Amino acid sequence: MKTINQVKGFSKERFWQVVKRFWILNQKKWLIGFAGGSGILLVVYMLTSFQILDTSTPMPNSMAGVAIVALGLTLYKYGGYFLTSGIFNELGKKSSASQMLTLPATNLEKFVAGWFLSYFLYTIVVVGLLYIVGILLGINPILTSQQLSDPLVNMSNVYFLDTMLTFTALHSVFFLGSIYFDGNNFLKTLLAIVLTFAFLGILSLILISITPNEISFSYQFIHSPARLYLSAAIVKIAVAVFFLFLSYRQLQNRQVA
Amino acid sequence: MISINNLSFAFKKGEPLFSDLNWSLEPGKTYGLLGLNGAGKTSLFNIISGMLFPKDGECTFEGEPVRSRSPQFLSELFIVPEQFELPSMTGDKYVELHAPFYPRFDEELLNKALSELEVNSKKKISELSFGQQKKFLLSFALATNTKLLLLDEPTNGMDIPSKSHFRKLQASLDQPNRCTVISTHQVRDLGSMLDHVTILKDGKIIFNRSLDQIFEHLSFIKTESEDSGVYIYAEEILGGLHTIQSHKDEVRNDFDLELLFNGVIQQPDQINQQFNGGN
Repeated sequence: MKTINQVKGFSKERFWQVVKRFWILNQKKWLIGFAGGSGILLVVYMLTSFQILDTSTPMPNSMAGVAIVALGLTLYKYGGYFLTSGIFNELGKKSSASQMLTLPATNLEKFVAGWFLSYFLYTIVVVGLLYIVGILLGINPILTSQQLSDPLVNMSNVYFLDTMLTFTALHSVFFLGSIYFDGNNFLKTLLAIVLTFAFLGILSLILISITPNEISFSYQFIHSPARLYLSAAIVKIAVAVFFLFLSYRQLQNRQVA
Repeated sequence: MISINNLSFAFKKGEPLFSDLNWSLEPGKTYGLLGLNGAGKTSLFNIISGMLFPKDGECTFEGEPVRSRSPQFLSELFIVPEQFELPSMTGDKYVELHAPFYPRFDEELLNKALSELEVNSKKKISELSFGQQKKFLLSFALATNTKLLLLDEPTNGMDIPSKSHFRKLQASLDQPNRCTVISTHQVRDLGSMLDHVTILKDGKIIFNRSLDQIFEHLSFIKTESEDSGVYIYAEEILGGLHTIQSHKDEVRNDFDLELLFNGVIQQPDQINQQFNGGN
C-alpha cells in the first residue's frame, strides 16, 4: 500500500487523498441530487416540448432551452447550497468529529478539499452539463439574459455571471455553516441568512427614515446598470472572500462537538 | 513524547475540569488512565489529540503544541474513542482511504488482527454491530503503528473471547516506540496490559506510578482474619480481607488493580506517602 510522505506545508498528495475521502463519503447524496435535478429538468423539457407540439399555443424552441437552463441554474444554486452544507457534517457529531479532526492533513488541505469539491468541481460539472444541454437545445446558456434598456451596456452575460457570483457568495456562507453548526447545517444557515437580511432590511428602513431628504444618491449611480452590476459583483466577491476566511478560521479552531 | 504542562480546562466558566495539570508520557509504555465517572478521562484524551483546546497551559507532542493539529503529529496519533461512528463504506474502502496517511501502516498486522478478532472487512462497517465496529477500529489502530495510541474504553461492547484476543494481540506486538494510553473502567479486563497506572480525581492526577514502582513500595496481601496487621486500605473478600500494605519482601503479592484504584480514591495521601519513604 502506498503511503503519503508527510511533508510540512501544503501537500498535493494529502490534498487529493482528502478530496477522495470527501467524495466517497458524500457520493451517494450527491449522485441522488444529480439524478433528482436531471429528472426535474427532463420533466420540464418534456412538458415544454408538448407545449411546442401544441399548435394552438406555439412556443419557440429556444424558449424551452432558456426555461431548462434557467431552471437548471436555479437547481445548481440551491442544490449546491444543500450539498455544501453537508460537506463537513462529520464535525457536527461527537461520535464522528474525531475522524475528521484527527485525519492527518492540514486544516488548509481539508478546507481547500471541501471547497474544491463543493464549489469548483461541482460548478465545472453542473454548469458544464447545463452548457451542453443548452447547446443541444439550440441556445447558448451564457446568453440567457433579460434584455436591458440601456443600449450602451452589453449585458448579454449578466444573468449567467450574476448567478455564478450569487452562488459564489452564498456558497461561502453555507460552507461556513457546514463547519460552524452541529447538525441541520442547511436549515440553520438558511435561517441565519434570513435573519441577517431581515436585520439589514430593518436597519436600512430606519436609516432611510432618519436621513434628511436633501441627501440623495447620485442619479447616475442608481440608474447605470453597469455600475450597479459591477458594485453588486464586487460586494458578492468580497462576501465570498470574507466568509471563506471565516470558514478557514472556524475549521482551525473547531473542537470536538 | 507527550508533555502536559500546567494545563487548565473548563467546559463552563467557574467550573474547572483540570487546573494546573502536569503529566508526561514516554514511548514504549502502556499507561492505564483510571478515574471515576466525570473525572475527565475522555476530555484529557481529546486535549492530548488536539480536539479540545486548553484554557491555560499546553500539551505538546515531541515539543510541538498538539492544538496545531499538524499532519506530522496526527500521522503519529490514533485515537479510538469510546463512542464513535464509522462512515458508510466497506472496511476495505476505509483502509484504502485512511491507511495512506500513516507512514508505517502495517497491512499484514491489520489482516492478522481482523482475522483473530473475526471481522469481515468486505462488509459495510457502518452496518456492523457496535462490538464488530470496535474490533475493526482497534485492528486498524494497531496497524497504524503510530507513536501514540489512545484507547478510550477499548473493550466496551466486545464479547469475552474478543477481549482475550485483543489482549493477546496487543501483548504480542513489539513496539518500543509506541506509547499506548488506555482509559478504562474495566480494570479486570485490561489490568494485565498496563505497565503504568495514572489515576485522575477532581481534575488532578492523584496517582501516577509504574508497576515496578508499585511492586517496589506496596504489597497486596490477602489475609484470613480481620487481625491482619497494619494496612493502608482493605476490602472485604470471602473469608478475610484483601489489603494494601507497605512493601513486604517475604509475602506473596496478590496485585489487584481494582483494589489499588479503590485504595487510591479513598486514601490517596496514605498510599502516595509509601512512595516518598513514608510508613
